[in-house]
Amino acid sequence: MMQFLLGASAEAFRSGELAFARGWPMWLFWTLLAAGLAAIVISMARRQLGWWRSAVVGVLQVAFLAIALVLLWRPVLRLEQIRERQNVVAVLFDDSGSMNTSDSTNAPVRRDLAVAALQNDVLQQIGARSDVRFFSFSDHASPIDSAQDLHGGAQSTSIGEALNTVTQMAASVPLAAVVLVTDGADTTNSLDEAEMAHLATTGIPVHTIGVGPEQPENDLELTQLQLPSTAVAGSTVRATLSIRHQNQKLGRVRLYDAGRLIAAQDVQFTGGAGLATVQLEFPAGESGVRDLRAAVDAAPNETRLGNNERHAVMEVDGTRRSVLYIEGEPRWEYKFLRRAVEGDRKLRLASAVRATPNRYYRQGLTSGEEIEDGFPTRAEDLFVYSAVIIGSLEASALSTDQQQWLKDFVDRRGGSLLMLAGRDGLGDGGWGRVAITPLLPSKLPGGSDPSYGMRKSQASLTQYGRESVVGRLAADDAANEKAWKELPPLTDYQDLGELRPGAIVLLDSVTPDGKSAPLLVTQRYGRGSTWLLATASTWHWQMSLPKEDQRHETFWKQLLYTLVAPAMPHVSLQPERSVFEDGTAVTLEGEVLDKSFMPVSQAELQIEAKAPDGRDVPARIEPSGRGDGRYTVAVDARDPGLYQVHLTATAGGEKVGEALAHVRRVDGVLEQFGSWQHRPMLERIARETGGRYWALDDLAGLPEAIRYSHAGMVESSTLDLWNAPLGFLLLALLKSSEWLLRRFWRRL
Amino acid sequence: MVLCALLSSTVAGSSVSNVSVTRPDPEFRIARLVYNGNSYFGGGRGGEAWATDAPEAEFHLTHGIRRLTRIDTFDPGDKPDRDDVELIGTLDDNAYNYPFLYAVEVGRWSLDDQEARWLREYLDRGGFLMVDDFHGDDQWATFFDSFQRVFPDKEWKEIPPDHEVFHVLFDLSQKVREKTQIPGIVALRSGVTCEECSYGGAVPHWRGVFDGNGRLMVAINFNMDLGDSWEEADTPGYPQTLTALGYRFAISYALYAMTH
Repeated sequence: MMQFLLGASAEAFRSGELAFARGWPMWLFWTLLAAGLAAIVISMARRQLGWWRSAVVGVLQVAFLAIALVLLWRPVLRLEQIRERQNVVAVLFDDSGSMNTSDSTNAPVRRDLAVAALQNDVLQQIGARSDVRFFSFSDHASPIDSAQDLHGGAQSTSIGEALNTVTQMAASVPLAAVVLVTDGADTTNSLDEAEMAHLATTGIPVHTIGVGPEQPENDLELTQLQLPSTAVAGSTVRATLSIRHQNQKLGRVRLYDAGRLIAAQDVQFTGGAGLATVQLEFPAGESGVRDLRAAVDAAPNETRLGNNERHAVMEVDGTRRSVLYIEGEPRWEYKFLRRAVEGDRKLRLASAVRATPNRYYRQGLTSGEEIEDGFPTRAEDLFVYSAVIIGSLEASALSTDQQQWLKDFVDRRGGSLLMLAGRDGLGDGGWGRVAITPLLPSKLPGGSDPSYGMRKSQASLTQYGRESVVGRLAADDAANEKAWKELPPLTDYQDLGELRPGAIVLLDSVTPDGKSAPLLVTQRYGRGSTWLLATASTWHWQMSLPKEDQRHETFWKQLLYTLVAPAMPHVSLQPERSVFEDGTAVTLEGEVLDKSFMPVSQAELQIEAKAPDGRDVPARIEPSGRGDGRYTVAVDARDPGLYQVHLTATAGGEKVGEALAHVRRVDGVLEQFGSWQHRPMLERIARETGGRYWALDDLAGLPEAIRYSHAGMVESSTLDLWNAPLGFLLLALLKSSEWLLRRFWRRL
Repeated sequence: MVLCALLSSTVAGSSVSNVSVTRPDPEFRIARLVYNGNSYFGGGRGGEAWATDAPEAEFHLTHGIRRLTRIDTFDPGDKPDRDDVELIGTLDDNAYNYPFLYAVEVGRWSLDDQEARWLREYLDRGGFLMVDDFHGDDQWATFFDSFQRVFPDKEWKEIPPDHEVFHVLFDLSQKVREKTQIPGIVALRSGVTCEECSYGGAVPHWRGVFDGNGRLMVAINFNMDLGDSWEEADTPGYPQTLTALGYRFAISYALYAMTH
């Protein structure tokens, strides 16, 4: 219809430029229009039609005049269109695994749907004007003779790489357009901003054809499994699972270690389609590697099951971690904290309590010389510990050097510092005016009024606390809330002052009349973290509850395990990620630190990697070149399975340490995830390159859109519009409307 | 919504400053166990055997603790009075606020099953009990009758002289080895250091009950009178060396209880 009325297609209008071909000046056009308008107004004023009838007739006459003038000026459409049979159009078919799937029971796979839609005259029309060349692509593009040569099932999709390969053809052949047939699941993230900008500069329009549903129906996808790469043996670990759901109401997630179920939890999905986050806690267990697999149970009649599970690998460090606790006075909190973690095989609490003004009583030692003066007298002796707890001890009890070491302990060594409330603790102990002050999560008050005293309150979880292992007293969320609410009240409190912007409050202290104040606060600093606990009366949780109750022990164990977790070893080996999907290059980062945790950049390193079957595989290690003690490790991991990488570092003929890491290589995974149609990305590719996005069931305009491409070998043409039927139809319609109205008004 | 909650929790924290608190309570108080007992003069409160030496014993010992250690305890003032004594009755849940209990003249106590269970629970939660001032075989038998109710599954043991409790601060091992007896004032005035001397009271014993982790939970001072050594600290006839030794044992028990 549009072609008939206007004499050109919509695609022609979209790509062409409107102009007047008569060559008469435009001022003359406006002058004549203005003169005509004036004449019509005067004419209407002389007639006795009434004002609104005059207005209607006037508008009709002015419109008639304007159209007539436009036609007199000879409107044309200036077009560029590709020269017939002299251009190439590249059609890229996504041949990856996601295109090999069916979106509903008994439906053809996406690839077949796409081929069928294109072969329904569309390719024929394109081929009538251009030479059509077919390509299939997955992680790279390669030419094929026809769409029948598609095999499907490739393990990854690299749209950027494919487009880059094909657009390079433009250097040798006149490439008029690229037609990209895909679901847009770019599993290698190859289409970054730089690649997109490069594509735009080629000037070749990319027409994208979206395949597959934009929201998959009845599919659960475990989009992400997050875990710490390392954990302390005996600690509790929290896994975060992100699940994309549609309209399901209930689900269940399970976590397996080497095939053995170690945790499970029901999930309630709310609000229709969306992304749900599930926290799953499990015991880290003994030293070794945890080869984990998380899975969400299939929904009823769910067909796409490959995206219901994810793998992860976690190293469990069995090294017994040491915590130093220095207490300025004998306190019940000290006694019960010690009792809470006593007997833990993975935590050693070395403590010194100042029993008299001149004597420290020490416990949990490995030798008689350990903390002989209550606090280490050399930095490296302090760095032996993974965490430090300071109780009711004034800052002046430590020398300036010792306070500086504490700062380095947190910043460089990655240790954690926990400070407890007390008569001589926190602000009242002068800790708001020393070297470690900037590390603390709050600006401790330093006035003359004591900040420590009695204040009955209840410990209450904040949102951060709920999401932290520290705040977990019971596995079930509701039971956990109840466990905290039913704890015996705390009796004391110490004002922490104003929290710093980066502080995270895990627990609040809430008085019976509802006044809330931060109770347990932390912040990251450097590689470590600092913590403030504004009470020293958690011991009531032990004495005021039945002996069987383990809440006090659980709180302190989990807090101490959290404190020791970030402490750095002297030699570490961190995989870029614990699972490498559908790729053979595995990379890790090694780091070597000396006794003072300063980087060792000239270390002699030995790297060994073993394949899942135990044979050695090539691995190489290179220094970062920045003198930061970091090294890049690359392992050639061709076969899927669990790889073991071992790093040994020596410096000056002395062994600095060694590290062991495991990574899992899996194949056939990437294409299972995110395999719905990524329409926004496809639209953006088209928009940036001058092409268009096309839905699979509406491809009729594609050949015409390619015809008017600006790329390849093009020719210019001018299409007259003055003789199109639409103009004459409008003139006739306007005049006949005026005549009919006048007749109706009896004003002929 | 989660974001809002996160923000609100942080903002709530950051706005708090100058939280009002009242003066801190003393960290440590000796709590005296008020028990029912078998009196020489009949039943009831055991002729107030539990009240023996009070309040002078607490008054002097508290001054000693303040002078010799960094334990934060209350100031008993210039003269002994009722406020120096913190009384805890059997079955009283307030005991859980005082993890150090003192029971005197336990050769006269009589705990029924409920009281025994209560005391066991207190000890199992982490409380510490120091018993003192009972002498001779008969009083031991009376003590042991209730002791068995508290510890049907445990036995008392002699605390070895080299045990941690005897050198947590002071080195008392030698005094234990030498069986140095800390006498009551009445015995001293009779020219001896023991009571019931001919009936099993001649030799002092430092006995104890240990928990599953080997920690001392009950210190049994048998055939000695620590209470008098504190109470009579200002009595010219009571040897200063024995008063000092009585202080040292009590302080050692307190420090041990606060660290183990």
